[in-house]
Amino acid sequence: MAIAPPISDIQVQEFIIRAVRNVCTRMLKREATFVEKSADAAYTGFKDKLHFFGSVGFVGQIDGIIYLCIPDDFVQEAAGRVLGLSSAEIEMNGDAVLKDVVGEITNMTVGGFKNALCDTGFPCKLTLPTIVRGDHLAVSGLKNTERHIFHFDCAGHRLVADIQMRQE
Amino acid sequence: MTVKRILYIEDSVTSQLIFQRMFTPDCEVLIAASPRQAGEVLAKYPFDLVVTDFMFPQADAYGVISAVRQKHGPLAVPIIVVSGSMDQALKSRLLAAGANACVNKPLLNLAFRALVHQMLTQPQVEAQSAELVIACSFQWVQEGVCHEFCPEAGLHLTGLDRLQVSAQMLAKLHELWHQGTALGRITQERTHNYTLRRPDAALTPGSTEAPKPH
Repeated sequence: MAIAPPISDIQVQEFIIRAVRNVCTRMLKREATFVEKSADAAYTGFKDKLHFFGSVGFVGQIDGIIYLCIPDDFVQEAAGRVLGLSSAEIEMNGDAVLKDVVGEITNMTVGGFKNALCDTGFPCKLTLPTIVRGDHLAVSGLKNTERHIFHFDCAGHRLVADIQMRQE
Repeated sequence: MTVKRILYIEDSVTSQLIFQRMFTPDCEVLIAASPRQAGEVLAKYPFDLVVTDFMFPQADAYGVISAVRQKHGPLAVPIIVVSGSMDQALKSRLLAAGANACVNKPLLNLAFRALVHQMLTQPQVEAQSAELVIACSFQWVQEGVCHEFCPEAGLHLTGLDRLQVSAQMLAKLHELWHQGTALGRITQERTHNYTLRRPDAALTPGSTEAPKPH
């Protein structure tokens, strides 16, 4: 029997680029461009302004977690676009609406990544999303995981996908 | 023309609004935020189509499918399952459980509208891939020996190396499938750990109360 070879760095990059682009195009009607793969976890942009961090884990033959780091102003704009609400209506509804939008964006992005893993021979299941909002946020590195940090540009906003995964 | 009624089961307000905007006012859209709430709505009203998300905080879509299928035939009330985590294996399981079609989120507007229109006018069951079957097996280690059991095939293999036992199981399942054995019928696998305790167990030194039966 052929056991699937480990997922390569190139595959990880392909999977996440496809997933992010897919969600931005289909859901937000915006193009996302891959900017760079960074080795530096301490992205200074997180200190400058409010961000939402959405995370969803995947568990199975391959385990991991993906953090999607999205600037607050981008989320406001996306919520207005997706839900057809004005900025005043969004403000009136408070955090809940914005968190829900980030939850869906994160879920669909990590879902797309996870589907690619499954279809490559690494069955796994998603966990429920967790969302936080704040400034000076940072993602800690988990022990014994490979870390891949990808930067995207979507309509002038910097989106970061921080992937930490462990292969058996 | 009568307006068709769709039940959309979805816990995300964002997806609820997107769906409502997509199909209102052409259809009457009722929203349930959980499979449990959907059960109550389904008991009260008839529907032409059920569209459900797959994953909820306390359940998944299998319960919805089985509840609808117990009452209606596969074409009387079609079911579309939508999910951001719709891989080939999940799709195959959902179709086997009684879903008519499975769609990946984010939804592609035109394609999804077309699918909903088709299910409302000429319902059909999406064909399962003849090239893909998901067979379920369970693996455990007991006294240093690795066991793997496939209930559908009735196969129980053992060995000292977990990967080797898995490889043997896969080869055997391939062999059986090619010989025409029906596989892929298990749709809801769960692992339960039961805690067993003797009801008449004596108090152990230092304990203050008798063990309670579960």
